[in-house]
Order: sequence, then structure tokens, then C-alpha cells
Amino acid sequence: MEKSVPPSKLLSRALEAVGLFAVVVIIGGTYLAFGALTPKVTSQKSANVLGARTENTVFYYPVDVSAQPIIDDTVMRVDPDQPNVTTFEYEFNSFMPSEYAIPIIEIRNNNDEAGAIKISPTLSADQTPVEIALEIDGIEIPLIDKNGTYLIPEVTLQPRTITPVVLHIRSTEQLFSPPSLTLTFVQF
Amino acid sequence: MSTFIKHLFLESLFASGVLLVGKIIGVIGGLWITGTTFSLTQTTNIIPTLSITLQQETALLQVNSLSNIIFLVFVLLFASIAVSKIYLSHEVRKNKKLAAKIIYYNLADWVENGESIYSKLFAWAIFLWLSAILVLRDSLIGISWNGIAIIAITFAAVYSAMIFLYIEKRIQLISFHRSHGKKRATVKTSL
Repeated sequence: MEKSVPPSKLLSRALEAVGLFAVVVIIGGTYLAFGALTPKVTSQKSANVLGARTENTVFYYPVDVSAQPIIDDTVMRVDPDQPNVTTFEYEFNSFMPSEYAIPIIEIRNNNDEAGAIKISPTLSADQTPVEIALEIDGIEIPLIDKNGTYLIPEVTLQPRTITPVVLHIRSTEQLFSPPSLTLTFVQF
Repeated sequence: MSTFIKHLFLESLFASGVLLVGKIIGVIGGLWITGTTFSLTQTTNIIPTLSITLQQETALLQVNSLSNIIFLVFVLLFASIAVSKIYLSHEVRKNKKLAAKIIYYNLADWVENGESIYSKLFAWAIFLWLSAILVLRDSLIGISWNGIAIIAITFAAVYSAMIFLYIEKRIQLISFHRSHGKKRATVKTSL
């Protein structure tokens, strides 16, 4: 004949099982939280395709000695009348010598041919001591040179290939009231 | 619920908190020592999270290694405190002069009570191994110096061996007392 276990003992065993499970949950939670606390490197490849942002930077530190541009906002505009023109507008709250991965360019057309794009920069105020260049596929293309001359380079890109683009900003001094930067990509 | 499980749960919560606070202090310390620029980035996954993002791989290695060193020192400090309390509780029973001194300096709280000794030892062994695994994981993915993982594993192994020897000694004592018809109240409550 089987011995029956008293309910109080059953409850005690159930509580022990819950207690042990809670310990396992604590261990798992600690493992996950440790991973979340570990710093990561900005992944340019997982950045944006045609302006669709997957990451949103909310805080930069330290501000005064930072090598980062402090970008408040990025706006991508596609003109419905001219779908080949894409404009990116960057609102900075400070300009510093820096690198910044901007949304990735992708050429799409019906015939799957290499596409040429013209890139033109515009600063909302002139006479700003800022040198700006774009690095496309590892090749650096100046947009505003040391003398403040605006350049409108043309680049040819393969279709359906995601191309990482890095914006280089080389200012001789930190600008606390910087102009906003507009980059216009015209595919032709 | 048994006293052991109850104390194990509480000690695990405490050790988990120590690990996470240690890592936070480590990351802040690593960023401060290296002066690396970082950003807090919001990722849009299923659960939106904030993560610390650096620009360069080399900076990541430095910051993370320093943070792991600080984290490990912090965890070992707390594990040593737990062990020292247990060691003291045994010494107090043997040495009456020491017991008198502890009472005189009002350090009675520093002496571990018999109920939580094994749960404390066990919980810290688990979390020391967890720390070693976490540091080893960072080393294997190349974001931490390998030496830190080796040190962490060594400490976890030495700590586990010490616990094993301690428990073995206690079991021998228990069996000695039982074979001589002496039952100690502390034995019953501890195990």
C-alpha cells in the first residue's frame, strides 16, 4: 500500500521547488543584464537603409572633448516629383572633428545598372571653418575643402548593393552655434 | 520552505545585485579611465533597450577589460567578506578571547550565524562561477583580455575547492559525533 504524503509536506516541497526555480531565474537574469551592460561598438552595417533609422542616439558624453558631432536630428526627404533626389538634413548642436555613419545609399532602378549620383553639400551659414568629406566604400570624397570651397562630386555605385557612407567633419575649432548641414543625393 | 532554500534565494539576490553593481561601476570606471567617448543608444528591438555604444573596436577592448577587472575585484571583495564572516564564526567558537573581543567591539553582526553558512557558501560559489563564465564569454568574443578570464576561473575553482574541503570536514565531524552518540544541534540546523 502506498503511503500518502501529508498536504503540509507537499506544500513545503512545492515552495522549495519555487525557491530553487527563483534562484535559477536570478542567475539567468544576471547573465542577461550583464550582457546588456557590456558596451558595444557602433555597427555601421546595421545602420540605416535610405534613412530608415534603426538606432537612435539619445546621449553623448563627454561633450567638450568629444570626437562626435552632436546631431540633434536627421531628416530624409524624397521629392515626390523628383524621386531620384534624396536630401538629408542634419541639425547639429555642435560641430567637432569627427566621423559619423550616415544612412546608407542604395541604388535601385528598373534595369539593374550601375547608377551615378551627384552629392552636393549645403551649410545654412557660410564662412564656417569646417572641412567636410564623405567616405564611400573606403574612398574619401571631399565636399567642402580646407579653403571652404564647395564641391559637387559624382560617384557611381552598383545597383542593389548597400553602400556604407561615413561623414567626416574636420573643424579647426568646436562650433557651439553650428549651421545645419544638408546633403543632396541626385541619382541620374 | 527549508531554511537552506530561503537563505540561498536571499543570498542569490544579494550576489546578483553585487555582480550588476560591480559591472556598472566597472563600465563607468573603464570609460572614465580611458576617457573614451560613448553614446547611449536606444535599440528598437521587441523590448527597447538603452545600450552603451563606442565607436572603435580597440576602445571597446580597453573599456570592457578594465570594467571586467573592476567588476571582478568588486565581486571577489564581497565573496571574501562572506568567507571571512564564516571563518570568524568558527574561530569564535574555538577562541574565547576572540569572542570576548568581538562582543567588546560590538561586532557580533559580523559573525555568521549557523543557519546561513552553507547557503551563503553555495550561493557565492554559483555566482563566482557565473562571473567567470561571463568574463570568459567576453574573452572568447574578443572584447576582454584573456588574463582576466584565467584569473576569474582560477578564483572560482579555488573557492569551490575550499568549499568542498570545508563541507567534507564538516561531514566527517558529523559522522564522528553520530558514531559516538553525540548529536549537535548546530549540525541539524545547518544541513
